[in-house]
Amino acid sequence: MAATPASRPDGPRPVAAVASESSPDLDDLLLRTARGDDQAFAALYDALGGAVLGLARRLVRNPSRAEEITQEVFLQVWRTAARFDPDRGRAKTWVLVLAHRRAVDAIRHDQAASDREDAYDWVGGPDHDVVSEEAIVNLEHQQVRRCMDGLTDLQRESVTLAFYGGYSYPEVAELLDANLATVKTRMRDGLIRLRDCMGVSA
Amino acid sequence: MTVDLHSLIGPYALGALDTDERSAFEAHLATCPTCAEEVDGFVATSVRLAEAAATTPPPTLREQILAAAATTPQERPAVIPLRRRRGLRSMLPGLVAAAAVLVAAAGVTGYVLEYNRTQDFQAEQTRVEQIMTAPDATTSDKTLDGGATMRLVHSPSLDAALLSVSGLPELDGQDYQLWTLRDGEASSVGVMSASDMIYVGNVGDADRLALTVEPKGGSESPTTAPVASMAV
Repeated sequence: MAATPASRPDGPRPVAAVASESSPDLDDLLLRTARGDDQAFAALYDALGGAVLGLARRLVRNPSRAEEITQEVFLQVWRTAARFDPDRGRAKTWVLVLAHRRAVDAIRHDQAASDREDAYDWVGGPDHDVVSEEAIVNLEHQQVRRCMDGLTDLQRESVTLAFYGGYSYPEVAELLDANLATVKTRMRDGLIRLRDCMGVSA
Repeated sequence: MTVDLHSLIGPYALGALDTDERSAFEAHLATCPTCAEEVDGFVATSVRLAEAAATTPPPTLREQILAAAATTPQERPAVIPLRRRRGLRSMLPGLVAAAAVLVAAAGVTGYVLEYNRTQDFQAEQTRVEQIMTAPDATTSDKTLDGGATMRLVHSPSLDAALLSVSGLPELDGQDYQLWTLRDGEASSVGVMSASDMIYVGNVGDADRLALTVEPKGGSESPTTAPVASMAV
């Protein structure tokens, strides 16, 4: 690192220096973004752009569409940063939940725009196995992959199809030929195991 | 049978609810502190799932996003509406929007999101805060016929003031316009809406501020009798 954070005065800072900080305070970056600080916004993008793009790619399965979504997400972050309330949640959560919703909305929108029959075939087709497998295989994060391995098949499929596949829980139930109550329970149980395995604290 | 909202906690944290269900679940959350705690843990878990999907974005994407942001206005926090601000800006550099601090301090109600170039906003916010926090700032209030209120915050050391109005009758096809009066000479400060705030620079030796109703966009000099005035 070229400079220590303590040695840097407030105000505009080189983006590269900000990005190279091991753990930028994302809440602070988002609060500064809300005040129009474009350096803070750039640093926020550097910290979360990869996750937003990766999540969008996983969900929409189309690289250029995923880039569009990433751009939409960050412009929404830029526009509405003033709504972020650090007392009610973390910046990282705010951005990534937004990204997930936006990508799922895009899937639904694109799906609605396509032929109804095709859409139905797509939902009911064999594609879900591919989604589920690829999502697991491609996970870069070692710990998440290990924790995923600790789930039952039905828990893992329920969690994966919903989160990385963008399916609603009734769609997941249909894909897995399980009833709604079972799927809801498996999702919750799966999240409990993942949370405990990853040592997540709220 | 009613849906057991709590059973939606897993689908909620995984983003697998439709909009209606999500709203219903969030309403449930507001009344259930223990659920909220569990949801926080689940959402934090799904954030980890999102991070695990991270990839390296192409450099062009970064450039596109930063360039797009540079030309995208931001929503502002609690401010008072200030209309046609950008057009006025060229001829009335003293015009400001209010910062939240001023809204609170001045007791002016109204919470409106206005879209603006943020650099402008920041500069103005600074000026507003300077006046509000100036040691010599004095505040005077006036209640007008019909219940509308005016408040003037004036700092002689900064040679500047903020005038806010609230609850004036809404105009159709006309604007309120604020003037400074010096020895009977009026010079325009800017046009205002029925609930608005304006920055008054170069207060100098002005002895009064006067508000008139003018054709839309304002006049060169007052064309009507003041609806309100205040001593500086």
